[in-house]
Amino acid sequence: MKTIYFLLMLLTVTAAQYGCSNSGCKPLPILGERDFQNGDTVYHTIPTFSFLNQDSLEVTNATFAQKIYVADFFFISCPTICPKVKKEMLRVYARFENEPHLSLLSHSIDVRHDTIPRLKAFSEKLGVDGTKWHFVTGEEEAIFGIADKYFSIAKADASAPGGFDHSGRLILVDTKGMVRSFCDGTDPASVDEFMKDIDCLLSQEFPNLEN
Amino acid sequence: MQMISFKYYFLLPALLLTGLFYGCQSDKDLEKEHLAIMEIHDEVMPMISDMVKIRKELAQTLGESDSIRQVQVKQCIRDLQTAEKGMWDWMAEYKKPASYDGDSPAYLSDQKQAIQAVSDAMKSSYEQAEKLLNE
Repeated sequence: MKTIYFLLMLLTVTAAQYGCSNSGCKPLPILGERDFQNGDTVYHTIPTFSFLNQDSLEVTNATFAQKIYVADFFFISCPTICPKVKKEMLRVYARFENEPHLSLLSHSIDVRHDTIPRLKAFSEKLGVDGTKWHFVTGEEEAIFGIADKYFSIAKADASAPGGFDHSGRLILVDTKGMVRSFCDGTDPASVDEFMKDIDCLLSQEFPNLEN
Repeated sequence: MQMISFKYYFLLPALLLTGLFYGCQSDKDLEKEHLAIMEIHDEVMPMISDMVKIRKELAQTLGESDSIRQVQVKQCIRDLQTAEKGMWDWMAEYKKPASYDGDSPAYLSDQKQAIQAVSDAMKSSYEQAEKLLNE
């Protein structure tokens, strides 16, 4: 009887510890295609990039070192999808505004009109911190090329519509440049679930933050 | 005198209701016209990324093309670029009017024609590009 009681106590303590350390999160999957090289699995990662943000500062992969980030694609004059997505991105921003390990990266796909001064005015209108939320522009081919890399994970879904860079999807990228989650940025319920994934990824990538 | 005030009792609400009716109708017309324009836009906007990609693919075939095909490919690339620019410029300039009166019905009618022309140019240039690539 004592042994059973001891085992029950042990199980309870272990379960409680597990629950606390992982905040009830399952590890998020690593999304995208994968290769097998020399017995190792090579996961899909976001390739190197270099763009300019609203403050004319270079934004590269290194900008997000030791950080996770949410990426999206938009343009200022977008009449339908983008205003909804920006509203949701603002919710993500507000929710994690004081979380130093999370950044936001919005790529403009209208390289003709969305100049750096326009991006600056846009970010100021939103009233966001430019060191946390980068609005970037670059060569058209580079922007669309990187969009392809981000959205290759969504292309695995045969039911997904085309034109991914104008689909309003938000993408969550971990500290190693791997895509860990995505959602429909026009749908508040989908974004709510996505923010839970951000919480999970933060707790997994930065376990000491909870202590 | 009493008759006049009695009439006003009816006239004033009738005028108010008529005003409200036309106000609501005007809002509905505005939304209807705006949505019709957006439908045309939304149908072709997702093609933009495919157009950028197919331009790149076409450009890559230039080296292995004979002179006649080179001319066709270059023209097709220019058509794609013009159509894409047409869409970006249209989006940058289009502004939904605040109400459906004055110049706004004519403006919306012009914008519908303009976005339809953009849509046609995008579709035809893309079709031509696909045709050239599959030759």
